[in-house]
Amino acid sequence: MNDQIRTEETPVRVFALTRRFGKKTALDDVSLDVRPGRVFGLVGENGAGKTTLMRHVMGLLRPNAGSVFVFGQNPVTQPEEALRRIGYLSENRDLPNWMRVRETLAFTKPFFPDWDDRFAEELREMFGLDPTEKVKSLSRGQRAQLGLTLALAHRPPLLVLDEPSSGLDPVVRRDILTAIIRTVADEGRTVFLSSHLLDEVECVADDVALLHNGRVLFSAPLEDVKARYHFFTFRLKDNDGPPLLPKEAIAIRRIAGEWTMMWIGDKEAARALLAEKQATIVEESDPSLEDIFISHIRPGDPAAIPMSAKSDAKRRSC
Amino acid sequence: MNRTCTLLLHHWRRTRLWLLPPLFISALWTVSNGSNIWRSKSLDGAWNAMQVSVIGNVFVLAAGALILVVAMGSGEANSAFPRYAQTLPVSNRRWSLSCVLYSLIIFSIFAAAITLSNWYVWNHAVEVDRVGVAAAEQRYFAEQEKTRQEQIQAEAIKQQENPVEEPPTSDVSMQELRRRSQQAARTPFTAGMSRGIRPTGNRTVPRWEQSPPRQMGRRLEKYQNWAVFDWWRQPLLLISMALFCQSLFAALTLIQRVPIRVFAIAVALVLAPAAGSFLSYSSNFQPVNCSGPDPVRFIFIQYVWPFLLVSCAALIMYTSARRERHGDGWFRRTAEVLTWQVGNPRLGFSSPARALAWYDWMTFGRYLIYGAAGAAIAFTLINVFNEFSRPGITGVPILPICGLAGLYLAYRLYYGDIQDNDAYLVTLPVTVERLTKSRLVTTTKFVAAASVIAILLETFIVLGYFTLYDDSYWPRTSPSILLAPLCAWVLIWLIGPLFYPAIATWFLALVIAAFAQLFLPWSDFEAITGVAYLCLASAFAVGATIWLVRRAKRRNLLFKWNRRLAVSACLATAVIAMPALWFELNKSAGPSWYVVVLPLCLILPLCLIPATPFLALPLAIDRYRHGAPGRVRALQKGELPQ
Amino acid sequence: MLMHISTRNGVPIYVQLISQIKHLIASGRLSTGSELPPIRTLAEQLLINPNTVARAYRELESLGLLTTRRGAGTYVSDKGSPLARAERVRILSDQLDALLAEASSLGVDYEQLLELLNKRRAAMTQRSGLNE
Repeated sequence: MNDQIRTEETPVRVFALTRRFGKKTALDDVSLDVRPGRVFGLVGENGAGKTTLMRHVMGLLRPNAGSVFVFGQNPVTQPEEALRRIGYLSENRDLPNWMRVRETLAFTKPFFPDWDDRFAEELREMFGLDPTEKVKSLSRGQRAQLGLTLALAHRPPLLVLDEPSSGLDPVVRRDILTAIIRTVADEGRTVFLSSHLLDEVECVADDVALLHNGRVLFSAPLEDVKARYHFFTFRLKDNDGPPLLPKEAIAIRRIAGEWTMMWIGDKEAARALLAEKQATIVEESDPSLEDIFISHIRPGDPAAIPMSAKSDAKRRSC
Repeated sequence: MNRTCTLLLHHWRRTRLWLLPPLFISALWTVSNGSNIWRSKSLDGAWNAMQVSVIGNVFVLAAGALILVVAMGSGEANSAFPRYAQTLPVSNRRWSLSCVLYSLIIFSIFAAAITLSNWYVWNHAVEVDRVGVAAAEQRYFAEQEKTRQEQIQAEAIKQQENPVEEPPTSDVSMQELRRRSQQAARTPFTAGMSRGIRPTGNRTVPRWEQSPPRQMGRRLEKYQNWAVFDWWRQPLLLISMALFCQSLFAALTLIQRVPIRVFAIAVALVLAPAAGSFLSYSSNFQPVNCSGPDPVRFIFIQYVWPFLLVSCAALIMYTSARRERHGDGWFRRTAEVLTWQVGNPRLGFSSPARALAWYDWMTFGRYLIYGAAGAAIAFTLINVFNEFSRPGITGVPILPICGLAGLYLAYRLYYGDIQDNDAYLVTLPVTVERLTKSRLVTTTKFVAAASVIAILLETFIVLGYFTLYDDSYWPRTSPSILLAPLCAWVLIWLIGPLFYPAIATWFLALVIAAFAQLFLPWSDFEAITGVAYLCLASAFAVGATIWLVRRAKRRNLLFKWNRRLAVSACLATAVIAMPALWFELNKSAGPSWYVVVLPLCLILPLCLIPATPFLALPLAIDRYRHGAPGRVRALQKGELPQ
Repeated sequence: MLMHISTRNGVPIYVQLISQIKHLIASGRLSTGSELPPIRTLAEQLLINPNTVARAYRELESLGLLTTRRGAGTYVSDKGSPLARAERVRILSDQLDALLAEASSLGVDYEQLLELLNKRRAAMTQRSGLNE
């Protein structure tokens, strides 16, 4: 945290980005900013448009409308200046299948003037990759590790990681996350990652944005997001139809005579409203990021509202 | 047996739609040529038309073979043994043999149908000719009789007017008469006389069979009406070669996983030899022609070789199927060992340009050169066996090789899949301009190297053969060699962004030519085809250039150095080609100005073609980077690599 | 050192860290003057954002439980004891509140609860006495 990389420009600035593929709109008026030195987590279900957005950041797709700037440069028209400062891990771990591990390192080196050979070697050894092995014979986890090595070796100020942990076993996942956290801690690097593994995002991210059907539902620091969402369980006087609630209440569900809802906004306002409706509040709790995510994506899903938020806690220990 | 039949039916159900285009074109071609034969007045003309018909059908046969490859592979990378079939309870042997058997059956039916229709038409022409010759014979003898009668009468009148009692005079006259009649007998009527050919020799042969209209290619045969069946002995060889090529295509999986996804690539691979043959304008589709009187070689070429080729095809298909199902084998290891590394990455690359050059070498350069070398050897051996019965043989095989390579590269670059290796390359900090420059330079180098290697190999083989066997014959190089690398280089980048329009143009020309032949009075099919191709090619060249320039301008991809190169290529072609062409046209039958100017107007746009690669290449790279349709589709499906 | 991070109960991670460190100090597992792991190490081990750890440390420092020596690490401050006591009381109070609520919802009155408490205490003394 002490040697923070000085960047005058915002690492990633996306403004009113729209992209269509044929009839389907993949991204609809998306705007977000990635602040320097922070970890930005982009979450969304499969097919929400996360990878499409990341490809725009890498200059691999042209926006139909809106703009994307990486350190103040347009990655489409100035790929050399923009991409030189990005370390990218693609979703499919695109690497030439016929190359050997050491060949990929040698091939990537001349494109990046800041390449550090020793650091690359260190990473490769840490991940335990055999230099003579061909990429096509690497396992999925090893491909992710190699991709991360190539992304980190030139010490870029911005890391763009598309689903870094997906499809990996717990050991490899731990390795990769450790490597990412280490770079954030040591060098104050900015990380822009996308994931649908929300427990990880909750642990690792500073800022969070939720992408759903190509739209940004919210984009804010994680603690603000957590502070805004509250989970209420209450009982109504008359057990008839669902109560009429304003739009701040989402994911309303009835389980065994009790109603549950996710409230966006102030706790006091929710309490006041429920008092107005003559409801007795049975339980109040803080939802996890996963609960928030599911309640947005599947408002009517019974699984969206856990029966008891305090039970089956997922533990992680050191 | 039951399972094999099921498999054959399955192949039929899968491929029947794909076979429709070549079948349609073949039918159209046969019918139009058949009508020509039917209407022709002279048997020579009929013979020419028959040859054209067979050659064209053989060409379509080759196309059909390649189309069958793609169809049987279901458009997947593993065309020898598609994924869905690997889980069926079918052994490798059964599957691969069923593929070969199916192709063989299809080609045989195809060949039989054409042969029968040709036989019917040819019989008719022969009958007409026979009748004509008989009538001419009658007329000839009638005239001769009349002449003789007149002579006798003249003699009688002369004798009456000048009464001479000298027996020697009558003896002389009798001798005269006998001599004259003998003379008359010594010039029998021949069919050739009815066709305006002078009689040769005085062998006693049947009158109609003497001086047949054309040699059939081997002196062992006579001119018979069943000869039509005989013509398929050459195509038999070609069918087996088509099967062999089909198996080679499937064998690509042994080397590298190649996504053979699009029907268009099979069709485009046919476009290359078509373009090549059109440019060199020689009938090179009879690959092996035994013109010597050697019966052993004749039997070997006509019967043993096809059998060998089909066996090889079956073996290759089997090996490929096995590799597809079970993974690596001895072939892969051998291929690895044989790969020569250029630009040792152990030492590192000093600049991005060098890294890119190494990358291009490893992805396509080495295959291009090895492929060119292998194909050159194969084709040259065929021609050596053929004893160079046609002039300008050396260099001809380069045309299809270069064309094929060019098209394959174009396809890979432009319609590449997200599973293609270049997906990593475009995430590196390189501009489109740098990639363009690098690709242009490396492609030029590789195509030139491949051409040079192919020519050298050919020359060595040919010289070696002739030094050992016959030093009186020196191989002649055809000027088409120079066109071949240019062809390839143009095709690589031109066909990329304009893949489908180019193929459509070619098909359109063929269909127009076939139709025109049916309805136009002249039967000179080659002229019609030539004109059709020329008009459409010119239109295509102009349209393509305009489209490319506009698109490149819109995306800021008209680099200064690129523009200069394009313009100079254009001008160079025009400056070299136009005066020569003008001279040629002026030489032939100096008629009015439009016969000369009009062809020039048609050919001048073709000078634009060498410049189009410079315009198309940045577009192709840009499109690949920012969203080629293949990548977008894969993105949407969320496909993962294998 | 054992610290648990849970994402399911919705409590912010830095809050969890703070309460756990307080607990460790209160129970004596982290004695005065002992060093806490550096931010980076703890973040790596728990797989959480270093900023979160830094924030927890900052809050604890502002509460007076930790001191940071520039370049030398983070240590438990000696001002911990009274606060530790307060922390102990707080923890027990929370648990007693829960116990009382549970008893009332089960319908056990206060007298029965005290009786139960004495019984359990006697049993525990007997067990520990046997162990000795």
